[in-house]
Amino acid sequence: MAPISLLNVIRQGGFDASIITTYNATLPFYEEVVLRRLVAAGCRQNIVLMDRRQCAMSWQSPAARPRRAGSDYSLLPVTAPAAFHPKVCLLVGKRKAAVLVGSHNLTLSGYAYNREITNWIQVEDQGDAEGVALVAKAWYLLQAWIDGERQRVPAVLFDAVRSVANVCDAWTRSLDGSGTSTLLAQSVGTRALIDQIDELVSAHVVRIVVTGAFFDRELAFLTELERRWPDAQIIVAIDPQSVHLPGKQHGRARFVDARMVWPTESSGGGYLHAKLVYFEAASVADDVLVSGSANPSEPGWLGGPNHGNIEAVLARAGSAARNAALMLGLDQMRDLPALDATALDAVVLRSLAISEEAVDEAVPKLLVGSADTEGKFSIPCSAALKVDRAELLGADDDVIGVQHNPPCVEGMLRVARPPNAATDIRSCVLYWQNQPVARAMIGYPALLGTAPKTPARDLRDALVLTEISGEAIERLLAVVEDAVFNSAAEQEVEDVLRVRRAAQHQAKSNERPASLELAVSTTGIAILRRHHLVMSTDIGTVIDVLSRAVQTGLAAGAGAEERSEEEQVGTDDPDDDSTADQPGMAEAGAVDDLQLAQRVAGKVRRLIGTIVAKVAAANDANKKGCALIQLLAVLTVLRELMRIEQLPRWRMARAVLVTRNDRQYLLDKLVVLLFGGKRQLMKTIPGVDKGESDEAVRLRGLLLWLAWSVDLPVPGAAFNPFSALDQPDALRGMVLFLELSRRMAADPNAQRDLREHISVTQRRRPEAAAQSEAWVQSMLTFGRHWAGELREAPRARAGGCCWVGDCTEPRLIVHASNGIIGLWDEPQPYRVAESWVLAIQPGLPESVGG
Amino acid sequence: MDIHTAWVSPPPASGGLDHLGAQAPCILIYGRLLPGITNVTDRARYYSFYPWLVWSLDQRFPDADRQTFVDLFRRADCLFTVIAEHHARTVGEANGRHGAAMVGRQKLVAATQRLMSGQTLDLAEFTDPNSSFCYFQNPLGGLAQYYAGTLAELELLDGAMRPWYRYRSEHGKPLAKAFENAVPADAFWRLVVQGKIGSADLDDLHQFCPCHLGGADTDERRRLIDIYFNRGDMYGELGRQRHRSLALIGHLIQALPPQTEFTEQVFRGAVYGAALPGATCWPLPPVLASTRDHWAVYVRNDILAVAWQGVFGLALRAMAPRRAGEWAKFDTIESFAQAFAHSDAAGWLDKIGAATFGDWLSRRRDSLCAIEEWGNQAHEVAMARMLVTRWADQEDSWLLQMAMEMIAVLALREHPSDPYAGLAMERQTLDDYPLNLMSFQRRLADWHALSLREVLADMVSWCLGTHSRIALRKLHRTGKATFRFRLCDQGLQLGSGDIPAPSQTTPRFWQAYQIMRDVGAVQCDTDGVAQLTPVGIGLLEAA
Repeated sequence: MAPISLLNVIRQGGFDASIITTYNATLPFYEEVVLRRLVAAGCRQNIVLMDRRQCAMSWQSPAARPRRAGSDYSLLPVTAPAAFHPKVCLLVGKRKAAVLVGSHNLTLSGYAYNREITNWIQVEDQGDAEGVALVAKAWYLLQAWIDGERQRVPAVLFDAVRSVANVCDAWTRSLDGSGTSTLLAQSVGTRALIDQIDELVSAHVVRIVVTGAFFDRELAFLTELERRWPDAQIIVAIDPQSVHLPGKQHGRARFVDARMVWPTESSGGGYLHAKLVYFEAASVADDVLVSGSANPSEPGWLGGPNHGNIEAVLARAGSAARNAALMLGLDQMRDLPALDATALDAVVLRSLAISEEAVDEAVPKLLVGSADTEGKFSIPCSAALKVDRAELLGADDDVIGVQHNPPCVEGMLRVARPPNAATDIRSCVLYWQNQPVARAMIGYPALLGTAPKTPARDLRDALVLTEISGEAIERLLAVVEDAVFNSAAEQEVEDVLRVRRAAQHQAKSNERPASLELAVSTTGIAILRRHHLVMSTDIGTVIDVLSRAVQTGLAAGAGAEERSEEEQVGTDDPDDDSTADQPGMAEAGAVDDLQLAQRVAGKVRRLIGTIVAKVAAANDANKKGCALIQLLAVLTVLRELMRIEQLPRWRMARAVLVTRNDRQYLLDKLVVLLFGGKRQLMKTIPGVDKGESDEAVRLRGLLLWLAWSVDLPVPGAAFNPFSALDQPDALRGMVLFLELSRRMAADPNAQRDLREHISVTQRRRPEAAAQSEAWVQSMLTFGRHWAGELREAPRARAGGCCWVGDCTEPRLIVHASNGIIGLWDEPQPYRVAESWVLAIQPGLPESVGG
Repeated sequence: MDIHTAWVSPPPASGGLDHLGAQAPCILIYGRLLPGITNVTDRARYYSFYPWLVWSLDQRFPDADRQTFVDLFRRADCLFTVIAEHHARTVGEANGRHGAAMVGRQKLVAATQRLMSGQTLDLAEFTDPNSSFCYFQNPLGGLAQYYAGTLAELELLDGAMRPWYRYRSEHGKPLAKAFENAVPADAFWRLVVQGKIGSADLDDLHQFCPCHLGGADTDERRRLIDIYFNRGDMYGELGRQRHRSLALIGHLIQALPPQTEFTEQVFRGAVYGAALPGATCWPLPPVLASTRDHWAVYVRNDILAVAWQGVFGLALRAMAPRRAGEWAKFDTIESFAQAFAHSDAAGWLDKIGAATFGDWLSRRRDSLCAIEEWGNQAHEVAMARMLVTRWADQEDSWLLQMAMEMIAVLALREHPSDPYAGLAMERQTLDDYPLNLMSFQRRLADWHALSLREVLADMVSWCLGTHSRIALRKLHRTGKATFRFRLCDQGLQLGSGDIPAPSQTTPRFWQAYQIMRDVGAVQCDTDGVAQLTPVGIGLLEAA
């Protein structure tokens, strides 16, 4: 059996949920590599169960601290009598499942560098009784460990985590499968592992081979083996350089140097962290090989209902055990000479010294809090926990908010969520008299539960939300983001593209085009004709999937993740795929890219049509507000697609995902619908006129970004549109800036966001940046002029502004004659008597240029 | 059901560059300032040769199947290099205008020598990928390996249907025809098909040598100059930016004092200090001022990247056991960083006698040389160069002091609130590559009141933490492990790869300079002294 790459197992796909247990973890490794692969392979709910103390320690170090726990995956600290030590990975899908049971912690070393042993159980058929039984057993164990934390986790968050049962319970139908492999655990309330194994192992054991990284001081486990199998030869294979063996050798166990069979780090191996016990019987049928998390120590094997570690192992019996033992080289251990007493003494002395040096680092208590729907965080607290200050921290442990004396209500500390920090808070450090007393991880139940639907369906569902609340908005935006950037679909398209490219590449390789001449101007037409064959009818799916496909190009195109320009110098690759690394050329599949782009652009056009229709049809306050939130989602998608257009791969393909015509059409329609006199839809979003809700600010920023994207000229401060009175586009532009730029000019945060929108969607050239900044400055100048003190103008005239009645929002005058004022509106100006209006102009009359 | 019990396998290891991601912003900047010329597109004539090669194959071998197409392509690519090398030897000149940086040249130098001594060269032997004499492994030679992306960006060729590269009607085809008119094309193809080459055969093909491009006012040269200098505004912003950077180089050549060797270091110093050697004024047309300022940002970022690499490399050195059995266990990056800040390498900090980083900066300000004095050994441009060149032969403490001095000097220079203003740098990019000018400025504020050892510890933590992030991202994207250290069960451990030495990025300078030489805009004497030609002066005036 070849070595198993855990990272490759994880990326296989076909799984909807994952649960990984570990003692310690390199959480950045999990988040940056493992989780990304899981999500890319379609695994939508991901849970990590980790020893509570180790988890608390991870939060202490910037290099080990989680950044995405609570929002992208569930991190659940588990309390154990000694240590929560099992290393199980359960991957479950509708039709397949896999279980990994081994010695590997969720660390970079555990997955990549140590010498670890794993058992990889693959079940591809729900009719496979033995396989299903093993999966079910794994799920029951994990379920029990999760349930053990019920009292320490807010109910709503616990339910979200526990909803993984929606996926896993499908594998619990059959439990009557019996086979040669048994999943065993030592846990709270179970018997000791040694007792469970004893039932599987024949009395006629000839030899026991033990290996592990940690032994206890009394060598209690070895003593127990000798007692239970008095006739067996006991061989203990260790790496003398790294093993923790603080106990003196006694009894009949023979210690051997495992490095003579298994390579050390210097010869390509790593730290020997594997744990196994092999019971070799006289008959192959009686062999048992036990491997997993349990070290050959008292806490590992001799625990009881209320003491010892929580462990998980797989016991394999019969020929499967013998074959695995042979493959691992355990048969060679019996021929190794015993380590001499001096060498062994040195190991013991070193281990004792380390034990004495070890200081239990004081770590603040770790709690688990939850975001609720009322804008608060709930953190379980006991009466003994005194708190006079709570600091809310972001992903980089940066302080985002502080609350003094948070109240404790029914056993829950209630800490207010800062405005505009929807899901940014990652943890909350609690203080008493300026001393940290606990840290609470924060989980977001709305983001963590199982979502059996596809991201595209989520997007569609989100777009028809009928109520407006903070949670609904948040959920909507999260879904939009998820739908656009979900890695599962990204992987899906990657796979599709890979297959298609390979097929096309092969076909192309052997089929010469009629001519090698290619006109830039005709490329798009050729693509259009071809892509009808593959067009889907599902807007959400296509936008979702294709926009993910385009984003995939970023990594390769940026060159920094693959081979950078610096790394390209002097290379000579034996295949011609190296073009992908070249500066300015991310992928050679320009034809495919163009097809994708055309499809996306078509779907975007329909999406724009849909949102315009929705906004136009909204006829009551709820529906109007809802339409604006939907609009916000759509604009977010458009912005992302335009950002993607700027990635090297898509620039090279001249791909346009959102055409200028479509953007112009959307902008024209929106100005009329949002600012037109009759509808004034913009004013229906809660907080637009009063509290400046985050959503209103975001919408304003994206509308201005849309205006920038079509090069909408900014009018001068005291604009004079006489020449433009017959040009509806120019008038709409003036109205838009009048409505939006005044508030933008007063909000530095919104300006920052607008600049970010522009910066990620503009051509990556200094000149483009300079032009954009000039546009922003003009817009802000215009806004400041009209946001400042306005004074009465000498007369109402076309091209000027006025207040109507007691309303102090400037309105654009498009004609003034015979005592009648025409205010901009479409399709017809809104006419009022001149006596109803007061002509106004900015306090600072100088022109600011457009 | 399948159950496998086995060892866990590690991901494959990889070397790679830029382990801190500190150079990534520099690469982005020079990519934006000098588009269309890259560090792997060394010679101007390949910009016309490859379009011609594809066009010519299409005209002459319209029925060639895939294998024939590739074979002919490789032979032609190989022959192009042989001609240039042969011409250099024939005229007895240095290679600068002839075979320098031609594709597969290293493998063909000896062959050309044999050719000159009367032997016959079999092209098939040098283009067979399985031959030990193979000039280049990539099936489509230098085009696929180096030039395809750039030529596609410039709308000359298209590589979507590889190996069937296609020429673009609008720009590629006219350029190919112009090349055809400048060379004895039929003789070239006869030789390609024949495959056996004698020295005399090549005498008739010297028009192919890149040196001929700059020698006469041909249609080919005019078209290439149109491309590089964006005459007719063929490429919009992209072309204008390239034109400005080339014009900046041209202006510098023109402004340098006589007999000054024109080097990349001179370019770095001049744009960073906005001054010529000797801190003299560099008058520049206003239209090029912002381009020079942008290049100054590149140099500043590159100096910072060198300093970070120095700190990182020294930290890695400190992780390595000095003697067998010597072992210090650090469970966290922070504990290691603290120990490093109190190690022998940091002993010189005691001699400074500054209570805080801020104090040190205040004292250091007194001896700060002017930014224009980039020739001064205490100037950051010179210090960055020294840290790179003396990495192998200097003590750790000297190197650490140099790195920290660079940090201090950068801190003392004026820095705008947005150090990347006008460079269209995305926030996401800066988040992905956290060691950048923006984050540096923020960190300076935090360091002001800290002791020097605290600052050093923070620098080390920052570098090591960033390396972990960058290496994790590379592991995710490429499946390859580039970790130079790792935090494992036994604490912090040095990885198995080499300790990376600090290096400067290569800002496409030599390629730009070479291309200007190739098109006849610049000439260079044997001492490396460059001069603008009348053509170059004309182009400069048009900038």
